[in-house]
Amino acid sequence: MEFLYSNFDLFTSSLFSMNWQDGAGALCLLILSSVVIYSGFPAAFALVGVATLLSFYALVSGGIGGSAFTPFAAILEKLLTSETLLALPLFLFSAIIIERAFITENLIKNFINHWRQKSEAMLFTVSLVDIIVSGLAAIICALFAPLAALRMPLLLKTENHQLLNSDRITSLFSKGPLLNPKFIPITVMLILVAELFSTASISSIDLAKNQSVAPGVQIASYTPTDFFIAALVPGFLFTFLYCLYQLFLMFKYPSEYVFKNIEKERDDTPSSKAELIKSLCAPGVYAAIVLSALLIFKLPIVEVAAIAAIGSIFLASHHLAPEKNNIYLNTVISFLCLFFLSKMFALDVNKFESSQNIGPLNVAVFAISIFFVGYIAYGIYNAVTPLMKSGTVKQERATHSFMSEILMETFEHASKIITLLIAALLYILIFKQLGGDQLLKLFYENFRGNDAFAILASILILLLVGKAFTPIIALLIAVPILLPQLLLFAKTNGVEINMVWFGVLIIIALQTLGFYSFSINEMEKNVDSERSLEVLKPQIFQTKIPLIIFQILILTLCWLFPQLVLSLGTVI
Amino acid sequence: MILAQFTWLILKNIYGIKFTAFFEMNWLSVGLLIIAGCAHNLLSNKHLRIQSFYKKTSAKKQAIINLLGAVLFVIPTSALIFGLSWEFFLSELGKHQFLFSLDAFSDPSSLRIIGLCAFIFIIIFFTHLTALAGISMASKAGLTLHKLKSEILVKTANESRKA
Repeated sequence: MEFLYSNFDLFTSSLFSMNWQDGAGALCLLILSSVVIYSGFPAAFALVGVATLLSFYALVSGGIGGSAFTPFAAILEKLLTSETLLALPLFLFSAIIIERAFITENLIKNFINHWRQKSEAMLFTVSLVDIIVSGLAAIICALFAPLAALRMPLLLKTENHQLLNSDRITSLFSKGPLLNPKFIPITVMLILVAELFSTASISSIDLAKNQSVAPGVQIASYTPTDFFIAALVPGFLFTFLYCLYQLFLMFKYPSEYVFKNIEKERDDTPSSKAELIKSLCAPGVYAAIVLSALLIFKLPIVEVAAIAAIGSIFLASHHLAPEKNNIYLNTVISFLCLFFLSKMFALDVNKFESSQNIGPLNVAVFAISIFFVGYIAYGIYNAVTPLMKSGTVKQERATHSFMSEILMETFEHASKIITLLIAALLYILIFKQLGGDQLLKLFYENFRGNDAFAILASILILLLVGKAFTPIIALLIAVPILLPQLLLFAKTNGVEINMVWFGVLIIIALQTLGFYSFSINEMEKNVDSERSLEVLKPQIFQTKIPLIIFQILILTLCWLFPQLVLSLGTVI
Repeated sequence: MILAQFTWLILKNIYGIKFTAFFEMNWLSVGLLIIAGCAHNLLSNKHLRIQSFYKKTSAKKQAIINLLGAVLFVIPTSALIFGLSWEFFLSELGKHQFLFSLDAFSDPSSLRIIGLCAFIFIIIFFTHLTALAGISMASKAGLTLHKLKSEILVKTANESRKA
């Protein structure tokens, strides 16, 4: 017992004598928080709780001053009033409503009915549907499409092993990886990346001032649109390469890629081309409007999110209450007319006030525009009403309406992400106060003269954190910790890192991890027994190998040719 | 929130009216999302957990993790966030003056005070609700532990009676 006491004294004395500024406290924080997160306590509270306790301890032992936490509230206020963050719940809402309205399932069923005689064509069809649905779910960025498409070989293989029947395959296809806690929807990821990169730019300049280094650059602010556009080319390239690979497999091993059960089970008449095109029309118009708002009209991300959210309500109503399709169509036409009217004629009220000569044409156009606005309001009312009245998708909770179910899910997911973001803010602040900057400075000094290795090491750390604690924690914690120091390191070495390019590299790397977690999780939900899952896991690994190869290939291409990422942004 | 944002979009882009109330309403909605959502997720176990270890542990160990976590992490964190935000609110409040007239909504200093009040309103409810959810989580875990303990006691009593 005495031995224990003496050792405890030794431990506490060494902790009390700890020099908090040289990074020992930050290291201690990293280790302790990792252990607590792994214990299974909610990650947001585990992170911030450990940081709080350690900072109290540092405060008591005189390691840090009381003013260390002062910036937190100002940062929190800035975060809460951030315009970019407003887009987050709106995008989540549109993603959830599209998923819950079984729009994907309907599309896949139509395709299956149309092409059921040609089983080989199924392979490509499902890719196509996934790509359309990715656009549908306001995902916009093409990077997401391959992720959805990658589910296919995995499912085809499982189909051949008779572990899943065709209905389950359909249900798996219809569930996008949007709502998996381990998977961040790409839109949300891009919004967060833009927010974090803008903050990191300011932090790096603060760091430069603290360490008496000439900042050399202006504070940069990034919008999610920059990252959306930059991710398009690598995303499409990735989809193209993977589709080529699938075609190669399909022609080389045709017997392996057949939907056996679906062919046997479906007896209904095949759907005509007209029906197929009709089912594609509404999602196509929706994707086109959202994409053009973002890329052509360059509206701010919050406004694009609002269009996506309202559009998704119409899409769901079009699917669930088709009797009012004419009203929905007229509303969309009214919206487009209103938009073009505002481009062709001056509808700006401020101009009317200053101008003395308001002609009859202006008055007529203004009246027409008011009519269109009224019709849009009428259309929205008609789109929302059936969703409020229709029963929930989940049979066991039939008391809730479809809309309240969707709103509840949006509320839960959005608050989960925002809580994590607030926790990350406080964690990073305390990490820095405990000498985290010194620790990272020491880390990056090892790469002096090797900038490429410094970037590579940062991406590897992100991947490691993402693998251990899910990609969202890697994004919210590791990125803001590493990025300012990496920027400062680059500045002191006279190297310019393009943040949009670096952001796309991070997204590609983290998405790979997210996809793997998603596929395992989905399998767990849909497979009958543990034994079946054990049989399936090696197959998941097998299907993962080409994915990793393509992912590394795309990463290398983006690394060697940054124009791949940046060219579209300069053109647009 | 969706409707407010869509109305803002039409008013701003079509008619050039920048009616900031819609925008303010939206960020207050995000604030409300945080206020209620954080505590709700904590109570209904919807927050992000790393399941690899937690899933495999017994109900007793899970209850111990939840109890310790709620007492050590949730309640002190809520207190810290509240304390820091309150201090910030008071210090910022001292820098500005409120105009007690109809011009208050066009006066930047008064607008700043309104913004600060909204911020502290969100923070007070957020931290208090989270702390209450933490207490509820801890008591739930405590009850589970008590139940497990009494079950073991009953089991051993039955076994000893049989013996």
